[in-house]
Amino acid sequence: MGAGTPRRYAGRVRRYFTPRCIGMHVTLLILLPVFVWLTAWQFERATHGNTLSWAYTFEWPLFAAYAIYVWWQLIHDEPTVLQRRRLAARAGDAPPGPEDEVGWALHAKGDRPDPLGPLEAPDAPGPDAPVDEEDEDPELAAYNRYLAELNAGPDPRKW
Amino acid sequence: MNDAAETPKDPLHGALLRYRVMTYIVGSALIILVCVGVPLQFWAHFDLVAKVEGTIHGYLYLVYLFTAADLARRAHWRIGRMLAVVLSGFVPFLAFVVEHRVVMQMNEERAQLLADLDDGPAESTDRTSASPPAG
Repeated sequence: MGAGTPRRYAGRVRRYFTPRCIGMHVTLLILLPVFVWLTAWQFERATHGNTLSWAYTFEWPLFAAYAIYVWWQLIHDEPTVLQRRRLAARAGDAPPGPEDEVGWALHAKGDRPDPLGPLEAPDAPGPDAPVDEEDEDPELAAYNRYLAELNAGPDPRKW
Repeated sequence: MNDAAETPKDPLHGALLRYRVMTYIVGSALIILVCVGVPLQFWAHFDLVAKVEGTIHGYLYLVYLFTAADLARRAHWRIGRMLAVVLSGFVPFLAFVVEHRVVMQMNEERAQLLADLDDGPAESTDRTSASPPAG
């Protein structure tokens, strides 16, 4: 916590509002009421003498639980570094490697670096790289990994 | 799956096997339901098969879904593949097609991953292989 908190907070919140995540939120918000309604419907049939409906009365809540589980899993799934690079390469804009970092003046107007400056040196080790300093504060190390993750660009996955 | 035996230690092997086994069970159960249970119910007015088989299929489908979600989590699946797998549990005959594609694609991805890891150190941009300076 400290000076880095607002930026970290913004980054954490933003990840829930990518088009990909919003699509998942909407899907879940449609599915859950449907599953609840189906549960209620089967429960009503079961209490009116349809014994088989008891099986479905307990099954629909399980489907709802599954939907929540998959929603949570897909939102919090991070592509591996290799996946990230391959996806970016396929999309035609590889994440900047050290050799891509030409001087400021050479950048086209459109892709000028963030005026706030890079959050970290461009050739900073990726999130999976081993940490050199052994006596590094674990919280700081985690934060640095998080910054490197942000610096690597947005999640290149479309869906 | 032939090449999987030659390359060492696929960490996804168990999860993939569980998913494949459940695919064949659920896919077969669905085909029996559609080809035997439903015709009997509609034309012979004998609905016992459809009811029992349908219920069994429903719960097997849940088990199948969880094996698929486990595999998806381990292999970082995209949503599209997850949707195809969820759909294939209740669209007759789709399960076998999707399973075949999933296995082929995952083998491809694994080969690609191994290739990427192999030529990693030679590539200066590979951030995963960044090693601490010698000395």
